[in-house]
Amino acid sequence: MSQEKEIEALKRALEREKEARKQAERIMEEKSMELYLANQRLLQINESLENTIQERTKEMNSLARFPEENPYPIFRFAGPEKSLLYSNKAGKRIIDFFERNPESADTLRWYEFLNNSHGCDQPLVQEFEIDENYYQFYSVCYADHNYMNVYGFDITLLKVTQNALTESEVRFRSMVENASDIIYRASVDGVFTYVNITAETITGYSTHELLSMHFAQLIRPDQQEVVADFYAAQIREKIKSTYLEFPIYTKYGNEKWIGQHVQLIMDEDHYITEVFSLARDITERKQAQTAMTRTATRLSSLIANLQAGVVMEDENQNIVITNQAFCNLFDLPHSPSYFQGKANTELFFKIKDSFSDPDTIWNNLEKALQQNKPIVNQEVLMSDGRIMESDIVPIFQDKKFLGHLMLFRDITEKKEAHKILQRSEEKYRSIIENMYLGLLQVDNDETIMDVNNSMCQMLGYTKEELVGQKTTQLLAVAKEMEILENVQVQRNEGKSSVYEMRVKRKDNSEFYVLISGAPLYNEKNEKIGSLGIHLDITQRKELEQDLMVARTKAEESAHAKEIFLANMSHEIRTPMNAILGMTNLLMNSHLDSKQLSYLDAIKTSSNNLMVIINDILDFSKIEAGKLTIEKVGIEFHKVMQNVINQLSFRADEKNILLINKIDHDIPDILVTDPTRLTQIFLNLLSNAVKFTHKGSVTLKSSLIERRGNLCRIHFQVIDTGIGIDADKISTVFDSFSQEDASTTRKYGGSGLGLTITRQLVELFGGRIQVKSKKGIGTEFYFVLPFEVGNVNDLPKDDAGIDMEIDLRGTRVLVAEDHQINQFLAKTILESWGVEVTIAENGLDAVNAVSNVDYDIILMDMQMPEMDGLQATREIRHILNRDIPIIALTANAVKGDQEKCLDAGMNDYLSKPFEQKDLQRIMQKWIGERKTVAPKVNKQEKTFVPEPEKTTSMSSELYDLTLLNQLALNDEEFIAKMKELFITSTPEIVDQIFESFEGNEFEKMSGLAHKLKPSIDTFNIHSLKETIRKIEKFHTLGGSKEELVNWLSQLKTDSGLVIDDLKRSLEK
Amino acid sequence: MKGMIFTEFIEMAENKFGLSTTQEAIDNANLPNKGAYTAVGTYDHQEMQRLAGELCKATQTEPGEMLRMFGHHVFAKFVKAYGVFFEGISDPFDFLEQIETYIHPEVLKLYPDAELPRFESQRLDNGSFRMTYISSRHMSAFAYGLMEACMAHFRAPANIETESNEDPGRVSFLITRL
Repeated sequence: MSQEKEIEALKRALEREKEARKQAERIMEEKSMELYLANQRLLQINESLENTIQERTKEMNSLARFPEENPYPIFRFAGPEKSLLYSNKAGKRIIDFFERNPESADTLRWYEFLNNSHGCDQPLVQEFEIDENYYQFYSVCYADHNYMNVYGFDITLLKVTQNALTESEVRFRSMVENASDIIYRASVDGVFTYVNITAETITGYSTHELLSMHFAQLIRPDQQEVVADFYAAQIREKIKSTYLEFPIYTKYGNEKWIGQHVQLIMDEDHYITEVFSLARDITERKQAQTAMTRTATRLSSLIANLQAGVVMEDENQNIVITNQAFCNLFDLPHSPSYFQGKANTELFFKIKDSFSDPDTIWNNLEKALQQNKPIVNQEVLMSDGRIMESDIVPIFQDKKFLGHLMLFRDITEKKEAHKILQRSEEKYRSIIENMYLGLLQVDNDETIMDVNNSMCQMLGYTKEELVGQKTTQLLAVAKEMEILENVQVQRNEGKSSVYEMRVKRKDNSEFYVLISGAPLYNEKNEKIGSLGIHLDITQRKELEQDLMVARTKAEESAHAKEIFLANMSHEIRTPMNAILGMTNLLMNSHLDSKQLSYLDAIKTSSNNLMVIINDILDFSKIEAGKLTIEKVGIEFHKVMQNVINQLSFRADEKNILLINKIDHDIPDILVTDPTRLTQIFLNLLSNAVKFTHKGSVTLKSSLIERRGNLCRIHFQVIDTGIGIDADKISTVFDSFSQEDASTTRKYGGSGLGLTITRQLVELFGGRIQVKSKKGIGTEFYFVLPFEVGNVNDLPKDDAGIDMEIDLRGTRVLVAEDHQINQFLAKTILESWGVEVTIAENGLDAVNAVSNVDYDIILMDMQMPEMDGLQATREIRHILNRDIPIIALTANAVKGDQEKCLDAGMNDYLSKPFEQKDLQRIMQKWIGERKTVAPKVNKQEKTFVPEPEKTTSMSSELYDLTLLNQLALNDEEFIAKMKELFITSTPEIVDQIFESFEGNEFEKMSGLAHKLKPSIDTFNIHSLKETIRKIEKFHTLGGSKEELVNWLSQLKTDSGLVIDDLKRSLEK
Repeated sequence: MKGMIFTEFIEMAENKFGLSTTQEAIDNANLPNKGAYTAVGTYDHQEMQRLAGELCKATQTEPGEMLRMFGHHVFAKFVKAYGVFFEGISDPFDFLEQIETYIHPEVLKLYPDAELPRFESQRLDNGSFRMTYISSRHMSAFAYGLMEACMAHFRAPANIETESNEDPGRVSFLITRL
C-alpha cells in the first residue's frame, strides 16, 4: 500500500518536474527574445554614431585650414615644457627666427613670455621685434586641457610711425626742458597750461603743483598788483611782446627776481588764444645791484656819522666829501655839502687859523702829497689849546692815485685822562715800593724778574743781587721744596693761592712768610710767570707755637686733675666705707646711751663727709662734662613722694610742714634720669628744710604743656625760711659760695649744692631761678622738658628686688685686698647665712673660681697682683664661667661702670655701700638662680633690723594644695598642669598688655576672665584679687593709674611663679 | 518570491518527510501550479505560506521549527552554490556582517525583482554579536536557522538567543560564542 503510495507520489513529483521544466523553457524563450531585440537596437545606435563622427571629422579638417591660411602667426603649445603642438606658416617663420637667434633679447623675452603665460588664467599680451618687423603676441592658456594658444599680429607699420613721432617729441621736449630759463604757456587769464622742468628748479614747486596755480600766486605780494596791471595792459592793447622784471617767492619762501618775456599767441582773427613766456632767474644780478647801492649808502652814512672829522679830496685836490664832525671840530658855519667840489685851498684857508702852527700842517700835507705814504697819529696843537690827532692817507686804486683822506680827532680829553692815570700809577707804585709787603715777580722758570724794596729788606739782598737769580736756588729752604712744586702746579693751572713757607735770608737765617701768589699773563693771555706778595709772619708763628705748648700743658693738667679726683675718691671712700660699716655694726652691739650718742655723732659726721665728697665728685664730673642724663621710665608720683619721704623725718624733727603738690594732669610715666632728678629736689628741699625754722616747705609740680609724647613741667620749691639778702641773691649759684662765712659755720655744707643743682637743671634742659625776701621765704623755680613714657618703659626687674630670697647656703667669693672691708663684707654676708670665701687679690680669685663653684663673686676693682677687670676677663674667657660678678668700686668716676660691664661683670656696687644695697644686689643676682622660698625668719637673716624696709608682698607666692587635691597627688598630671601654665600664661599676659595699650578694655576683660581659673588653681595669692579687678575694669571703670599697677603686678608675679614652676620641673 | 525558495523547500520536504507527505501537503495547499516550481520563475509568496502551513500540519511540526530547518537546508545550498561569498572569511561574524553590506546588494544585481529581508548587525565584543532581522514576511525563524547553520559552518559553537519578538517584523538575536 505505502509502496503504491510512494510510487504514486514519485509519479506526481516527476510530473511536477516536467511541468517545471516546461515552465522554465518558456521563461528562457522569452528572455532570449528580449535579448535579441536589445541587440538589434544597439546595432542601430552604433551606425548613426559612426556617421556623425565622419561628418564631424570632415568639418574639423575644413576648419583646420583657417589658422593655416591666417597670414599672422598662430601657435599651440602643450604641457609645462611648452612643446610646440602646432604652428601655421607665419608661425613657423617666427619659430625659425627664434631658433636662428637663440641669444637675441627678443628670443629670451619670448621664452619668458611663454613661461609667464603658462598656467596664467588671464591672456597675456607682449610686443616683439623679429626680423625688423614688430609683432604683438596674445596668449590664451587652457589649463584644464594642458595647452595654450598664442596669436600674433604684425604691428610693424604702427610701430614705425609711432617711433618717428616719439623721437621728434623727445628732441623738442628735451630742448625745452633743458633750457636754463623757465618756458611756460598760460591761458589768457594767467593759469599755467605748460611749464618746463626749469620752472620746478627755480620756483621749488613741482610741475603738478604749478599746473594748478595762477601765475600771480608766485609774485611777491607787494608787487602782485603792479605786475597784474602790466599784463592786463599788454592783453588789452594786444602788445605782441613785453619784458618785465619782478620778484617772486619760491615754495620755500625765498625771494627770487625774474626777468620775463611774454608773447601773445593769436589766431587768424587776432583773438588771443594763449600766452607764451620765457622767464629768467635774474636774482644774482639784482642782488649785486642792491648790494652796491647799500654799500655806497652805508659808506656815506658812516662818514657822515664818524666822530672824527673827515675830508676826502680827489687827485685834482678838489673836495669830494667832508662831514659834520669836521665842520664842528673847526667851528665852520657851513654844512658838509658846502665844500663838495670846491678846491682844498678854500677849505684850508678857512681852517688854518685854528691850528697853533698851521705851517706844520701844510708841510705834512705837502710831504704826504710828495711821498704818497700815509702820515698817521700826528698830534696837532690847536690855537685854543685843544689837541688833535690827524691822519693823512693817500688813496690808490690799482696803483692809480685817486686823492687823499684826512682825519682829525679831538684827543684833548683822552690826553687829560692819560695824565691822571699816569699820576695815580706813580702814586700806587710808590706805595707798593714803600709798604711792608714784599713783592716778587718771577718768570716760568722761577727766575726773579722784579722785586720791591720791602722784599729786598726782608731778604737782606739788594734788588740787583736778586733779579736774574732763581728763587729755588737763592731763597728756598730745602724742606719747603715740596710746597714750591705744589704751588708751581697750581700756577700752571691758572690758580691763585695763599700759603705759608720758610724762606732763607742772605745771612742764611730762616723766617716765615705768608705768600699770596697769582699767575701773571701777557696781553696774549700766555702765562709768563707769577707774582707773590710776601708778609713776614715770623712773630705770629712763634706766638702760635707758644699757644700750642700752653694748650698741651693745660690738657695734661686737666687730665691729671681727673686722675687725682678718681684717686682721691677711692682713697677717701675706702676708709669711709670702713668707718660707716663699722659704726653700723657697733651700733648693734650692747652700748650705753652715751656711747650710742658718740656713735651717732660719728655716723652723722661721716654721712656729712660723704655728702661733701659726693658733691665735690659730682661737681668735678659736671665741670669735665662727664655727667650725662640717663633715660629710663619712672613713675613720676613715686619719685616725688620718695624725695618727700626722705626728708619728712628731718621736717618732722623741725616741726615744719612738708607739702607735695602734684598737678593731676602730669603724665604718670616719664622717661628721664630718676637719680639726678631726685638729687635736684633733695638738694633744694634739704636746703629749704635746713634754712626754715617754722612754717612749711612746698614742692609744687605743674604741667605747662603737653605736645605729643613731650611735656614740660614747672617745678617750685617754696619755703618760709630765713630768705636771702637781695645783694647776695645773684651769687647763690656760684661755686663754693654761701651767703656768708657764718652760714657755713651755722648750717654746714660744701657750698657746692646749689651750683650742682643749677648745673643738673641745665643738663636736663632747664634754667633755675630764685626769688627771695629776707625773713619771709625763698622760692626756687624752673621748667624741665620730659618725654612721656608708658608701662613698657619702666624697668622690668624692679619688682624682683623687693623679693626676699633665702641666701642661706649661698657661696660667695669676696675678692678684696682691704682687710677692714674684707671683714665688713664677711660679717654682713655671714649674718645672712652665706658661706664667704675671701680672695686677697685678682689672681687668688681666679684660682679660687677654678676650684670651687661659687654662686656669686664680689670683686674689688683695684687690687694688687691682678685687678678686678683682668680677673673678670680671665674668669669669663679662660675659665669660661658665667657666675654673676659684682664690681665693688670706690671709683665713682664716669666710665668705671662701662669698664666693668665691658670686662664681663654683671653689676656694680659703689663703695661705701650700705647693707641694704648689698642685700639688693645679692637678692637680684642670687634670685635669678635660687628658688623663691618662704621667708623663714626675718630676724635670723638680717643682721641689722631695718624697720623702714618694705615687707615682701607675700610669704608664699602660690601653693599647690588645690591642684594636689584636684590631681589626687598624681605627679604626672601636676607636671602637665605646670607646663601648661608655663606656656600659656605669658601669652595671655602679653595679650592683656596689648589690649590695654590699644584701649580695648572689653578684650582685656575677656583675657583676664580666661586667666582667672589658672590663678585660682595655683592659688597665686597676690593675683587672685588683682585678676578680678582687671576683669571688672571694663564694666566698673576706675583709675588707669591703678590699672597700670595691677597689670605690672600681674606680669611680675606670674613671671616669678613661672620661674619657680620651671625650676620645680627641672628637679 | 523567487522560485528557488520553492524548489529548495520542496527538496527539503521530500528529503525530510518523504515524497508522499510532501505531495499530500502540496495537494492540500491547493497551489495554482500544483507544485511545479522552477528556480528561474517568480511566484506569489502566499503560495509558500500555504505550502509550509500544510507541511507543518501533515508532519505535525511547529511552523518556526519548520522554517529553522529550512534555514539549515538553504545555508548548505548557499555554501555549495555561492562559494565565492565564503572565500577568505574565517570568522562567522565577518560573514554575517557582509550579508547586508555585500551579499544582498550582489543578489539584487542578478535578480532585480528579488524581495530580501534587511539585517542590522552590531558587534558587541569579540565573542558576541547582535543581528536584527527586519522583514514584512515574518520569517525570523528562517533567519535563526541560517545563523545556526552559519556558526556551525565556521565551526564556531555559539548560543543564539532571541532577544525580542514582540514585533514579528523586527526580531533581534544575540549570538554569543561559547
